[in-house]
Amino acid sequence: MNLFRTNLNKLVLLSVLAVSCGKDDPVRPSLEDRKSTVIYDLPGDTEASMADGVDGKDRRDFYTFLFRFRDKRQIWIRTKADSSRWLKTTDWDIAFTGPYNSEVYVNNAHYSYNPGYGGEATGTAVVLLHQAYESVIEAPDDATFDQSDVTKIGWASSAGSNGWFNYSLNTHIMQALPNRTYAVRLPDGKYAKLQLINAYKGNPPAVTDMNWPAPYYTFRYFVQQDGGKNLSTITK
Amino acid sequence: MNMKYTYFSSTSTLLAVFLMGTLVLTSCSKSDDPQPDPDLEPGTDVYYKLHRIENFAVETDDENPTQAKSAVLFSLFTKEEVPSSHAKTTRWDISFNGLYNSFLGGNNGSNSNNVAYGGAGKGGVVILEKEFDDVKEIPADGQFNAKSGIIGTDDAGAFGEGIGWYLYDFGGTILGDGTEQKEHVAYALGSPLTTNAGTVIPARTIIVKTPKGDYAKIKMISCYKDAFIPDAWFKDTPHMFFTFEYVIVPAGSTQFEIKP
Repeated sequence: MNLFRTNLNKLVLLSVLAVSCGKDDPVRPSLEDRKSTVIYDLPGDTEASMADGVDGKDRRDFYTFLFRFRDKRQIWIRTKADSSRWLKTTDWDIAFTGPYNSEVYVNNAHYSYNPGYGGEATGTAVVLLHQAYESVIEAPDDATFDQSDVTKIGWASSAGSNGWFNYSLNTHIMQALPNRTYAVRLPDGKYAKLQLINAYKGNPPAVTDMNWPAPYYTFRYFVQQDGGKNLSTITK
Repeated sequence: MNMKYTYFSSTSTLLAVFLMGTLVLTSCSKSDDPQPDPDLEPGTDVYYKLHRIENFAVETDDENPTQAKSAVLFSLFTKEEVPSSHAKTTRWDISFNGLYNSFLGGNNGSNSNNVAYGGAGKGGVVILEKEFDDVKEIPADGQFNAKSGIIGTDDAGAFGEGIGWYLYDFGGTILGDGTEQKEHVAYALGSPLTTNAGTVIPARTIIVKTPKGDYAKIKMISCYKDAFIPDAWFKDTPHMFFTFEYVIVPAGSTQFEIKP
């Protein structure tokens, strides 16, 4: 009986793989463009849960983690020592905070809820562009950055919101909104563009099961290293 | 409303006839005092006074709260909801939009993200991290945001969108005691609150520029029915019932004042 079950499971798994292979290629364009950095399934705080009785998870707030673009380093903030070592420095670019690490801050010294508040990242800013990632070819001018009201890249409660995802309290499923690319002025003054793509493992196009493994972040970014505003990632 | 109609018509014709009779009677007695759809001019007696609205109820659907709902419009002068058919008029001052109708905005006809778009309103909203009583000066016109649905969840809580009028305690751990009944509680920030971590969150005050250019300051007190203090707010406390206080001063004012 057990043996049979195991075999059946394997069989099902195989056919799922086959289906997803067949479906993936034509329908979903690759995230890779040979210029951007693509991060797949970066695990967030998968041990935390907002409810009791979830197997293998603690009921507590989610730990924040930081991310540094230049070497793709993930830095966890679990203790006071972690906070004092990292938060007020320019050694990180973005922070994944809040429920399911879904609310992303760009390191900034001026906004009181930013993890970098009171720190060294004094010149940073974020601008939401209602464009597809690949069609963003230039960073906005500095005045636009300076006047931007984007404090955080998180939940979008309405179409006019600055956030990157919809969250249905009905299905408890998060879904990235299309055509939202964030132009970022980084702590080192360089310009970048950022797209947050998915919080679910494997970057599935649509999740219907609220127990799908999460948070596992898929996102991509491009930093213009010469200090200029050219953010084109189109390669021939 | 719709449900009531269905109920009445399907249960008993007699009842329906009876109700109709009452309706006719009611409308007769009303028409004695004809008011041909007046464009209400703000009465001067509204200014310089502290007003309180308790339990202003908006439709709530716990089953599907994130579905976009139509805005609920409210007049600070008549203290009543204004039908959405009047969205493009200047008869209302604040709108409640989005999730649980909890995101506030002003009435501005020139902003395409405003439910009044196309109308004559020139209003907006701005939120200050300051106690209601301490807000005296009226902010410069440039500080008012003309979009609808922009003041809601505060970044001090989960799913915040900038500075907001309430803190959403998703896990019940920021201000709650961690019990299940304290999860998903929306804490109005009309008064300062101290988090479990010891951080004091200053009170917020919303400033409204009305469509006709008057100014109001609003203290949001609660979104729970008959429950006006944080200790009385739980996940299942009936919501959304907005309780708030405000003062209106006429266009051209530079200060908020209450006059005897």
